[in-house]
Amino acid sequence: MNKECNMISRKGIMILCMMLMIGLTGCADNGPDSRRVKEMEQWVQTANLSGTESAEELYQAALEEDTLVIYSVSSRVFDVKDTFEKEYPGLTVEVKDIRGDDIVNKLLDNYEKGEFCCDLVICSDCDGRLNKELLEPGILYPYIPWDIAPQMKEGHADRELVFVGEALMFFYNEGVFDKQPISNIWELTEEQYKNRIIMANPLSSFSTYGFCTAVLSESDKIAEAYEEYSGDALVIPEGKTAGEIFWEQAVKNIVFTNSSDEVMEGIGSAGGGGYWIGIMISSKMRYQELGYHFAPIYRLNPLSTVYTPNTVTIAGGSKNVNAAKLFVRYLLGETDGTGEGIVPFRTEGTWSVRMDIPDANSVPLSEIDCIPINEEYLYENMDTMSEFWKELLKENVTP
Amino acid sequence: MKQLLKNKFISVLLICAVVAIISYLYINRQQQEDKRTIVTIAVRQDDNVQNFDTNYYTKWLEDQTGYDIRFEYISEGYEKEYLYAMLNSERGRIDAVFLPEDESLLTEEEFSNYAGEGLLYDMKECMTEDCHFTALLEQYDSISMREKLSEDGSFYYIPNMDTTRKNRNMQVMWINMGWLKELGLKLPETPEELCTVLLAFRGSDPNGNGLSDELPLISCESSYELQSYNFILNAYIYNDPLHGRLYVDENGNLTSAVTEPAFREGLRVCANMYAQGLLTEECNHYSKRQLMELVNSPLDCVGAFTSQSIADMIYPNCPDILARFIQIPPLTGATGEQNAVYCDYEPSVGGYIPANSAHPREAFEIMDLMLSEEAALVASFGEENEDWKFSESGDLSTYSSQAMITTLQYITDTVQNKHYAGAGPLVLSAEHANGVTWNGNNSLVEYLDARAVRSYEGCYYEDRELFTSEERLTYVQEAIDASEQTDKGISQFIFGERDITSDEEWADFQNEVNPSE
Repeated sequence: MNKECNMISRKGIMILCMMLMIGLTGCADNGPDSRRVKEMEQWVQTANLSGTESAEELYQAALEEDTLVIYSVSSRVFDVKDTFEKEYPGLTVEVKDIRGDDIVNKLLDNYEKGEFCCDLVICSDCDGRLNKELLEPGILYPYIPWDIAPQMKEGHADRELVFVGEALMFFYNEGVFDKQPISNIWELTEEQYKNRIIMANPLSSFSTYGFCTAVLSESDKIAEAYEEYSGDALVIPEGKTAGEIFWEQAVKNIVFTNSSDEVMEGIGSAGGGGYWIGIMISSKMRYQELGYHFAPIYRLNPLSTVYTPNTVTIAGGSKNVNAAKLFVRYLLGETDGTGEGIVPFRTEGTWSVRMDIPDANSVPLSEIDCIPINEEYLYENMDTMSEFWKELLKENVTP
Repeated sequence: MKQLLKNKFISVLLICAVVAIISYLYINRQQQEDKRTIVTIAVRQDDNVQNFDTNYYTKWLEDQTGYDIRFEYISEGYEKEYLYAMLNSERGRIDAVFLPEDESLLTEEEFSNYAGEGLLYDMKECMTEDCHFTALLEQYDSISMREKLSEDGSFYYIPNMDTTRKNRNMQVMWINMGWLKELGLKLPETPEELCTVLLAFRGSDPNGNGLSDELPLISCESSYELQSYNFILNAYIYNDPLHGRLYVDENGNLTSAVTEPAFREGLRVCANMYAQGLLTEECNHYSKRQLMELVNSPLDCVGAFTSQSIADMIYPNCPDILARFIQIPPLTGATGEQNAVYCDYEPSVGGYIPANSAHPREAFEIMDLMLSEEAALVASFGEENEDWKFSESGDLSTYSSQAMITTLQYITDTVQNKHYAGAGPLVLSAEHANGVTWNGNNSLVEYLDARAVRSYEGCYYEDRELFTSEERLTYVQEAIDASEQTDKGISQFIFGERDITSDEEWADFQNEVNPSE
């Protein structure tokens, strides 16, 4: 009897274990990741991102929604928010002005937790993370208004929707120099520029990171520029590149700061510390109107500028998708390009992404020593680049 | 069967033994907890602190000291009455009082009066050579903390002191960038340019509401940093109200700036601004709170103001209003004068012990511990490795120097249960206070302040060390003591009660502020 009981209970335990395993396997199938993917699939269907709604239809639908939440790297979105709310009474917008890297991390975190508290993302993709970690896995989605798409310049409405063209570039202090003081990038490594160059920490500024790594990716051109600068070929030790040698020498002259705003104040304001050269985002040129005295360096051997376009994407799971779509349209200047939303982004230092709207910058990109950002390269080399910069910053940050 | 019963009996015995041990341990712990000294602390409720009793910092202090800390909230709206009544209440009700960071509950004079009346406990009795408070007394500035904190050799409070670089700079001028853009104006760099900008602010309806409701430049008498004319005067001569408005003349003597022609010229310009309606007087007698409401108004009616921190005037959670204003570096006068006023660290009352406290030594022990580096880090940033961690080399602080602290969860100005939102004794080392990484938020007030202060630091008065030198200390103190009369005269000249162009009135003023000459 005892034996029988034992056998029964053993069988019972085995059945229980098997049921538990099956249950667990079932749970794995319905785990947070796959559940999220399903949620996203459902959301994409209802969001109808390829829809052909008019602005008025979107507005009527948006009136039923809640406050539109935007994560943005650009403070000019506050201006767009003001006019948008006037243009579309009853709609409210909340802008969270944060750095690109933090936007990516925040969205990944939100997605993992299933907290879809962001509707729209305005950010540049300077290290490929936006594309690889958010767009490709379906955390962010492009929304390209059907009636504006035909007006978009080539390459600006593919995987992501670019709404304004900006660039990371060299500037000089007009209070110190009446004309561009350098013509070759290697001049920046000269002793006279010691503590006279200011740029944002590439590990905290998305666009500066893009610029620094773009220079690293153009090592051949950097080596050629060296030869033109010194007359001798650059001696490149094994395991190094010309780009690395350039930055290793240049950082000794650079004062690092947190953002392009501080760079602008450093080279352009009365109390800024009198830096001679700054590396910052071109859209800061709009502050020249306020009296900041700095000027862009358009021509430099081998490059002065890295094109870093700003994109707008809708966050998967957005609960206010109609308001988000309406805002995208507004940001692009509506169908005919005359809408108010584009105005804050039509300043010196920006280039139009639409064929029917002229560039705001007085000098076209074709007349600038400019290279496009290579997102693939940046993403693939992200760890190496980060390590390289971490090492450089360790030795060169102001104590 | 017998064996089975035996086994069952042993099992029951074992279970009973385990239950008995657990019960013993539980009861013993309860008894020990019951024996713990209860220290009751009065504190003002803060919207950003979820619960003082369950707060992480409270638990940390309890673990470190072995005391049971309990809080009693100071009655809202009747703070001063509560504090006074508590000092006169029956023995043992409150063991210590923690004041908020903003120094709003007690004036220096009130505190001094309490000490004079014998209502405060003299902590001198508890101080040992190796306590944190003793170590602090010998730190900071050429005037030691001992002199600042003691009253005739007695110590009645443990300080709360902001050691950031922002707090070293007396005032920053902030200007409405939206209005500048709207009117196509540049940031002013001289007093004349400021006048031009303010005139445009007054007459061009920059807020676009069709009303003439713009206040071009506001000022408030409640503190030196809010008096915007102090900023303008610094373009004419070094104008340091914190040190009796003394400066070093061409002969190297420390002398009063207010009797100099350059100061009079500055006053003339300010008076002229007032006469033209550029420097508004209507909010001159507002409280700081009222002024804040004005600046934060959605009507967008303020053109410029001065303050030490932008958070003194704009609520930290209003990014759109924060984005509206930008700092102006110190103005440059016609003679090249461009000055910013450097402040010494000024401790405020962080916590004190009523003379009727039942546990003054225990209360002192807790407050002294709060001055330790470890406590100051918790009090400022929360839980290590949860809310913050020590930075890696290469990280930048908000001041663009090598960072010391990386915030993992930014819990300043947010609702949290990790610290007391700045209340109570707190002195974080300058190294840590100035070494916090930026969280990337462009509207973070610490970041905006850090950016602003860096454009002022280059304009600090180069002879400022003289103000705190041993041999001139008495002279400086006398000038500071006479400030009230000087301040009154300056205000009268600017706001039209006296005529700055009249030589006679100017001579009268000089006699008032410098009777010996």
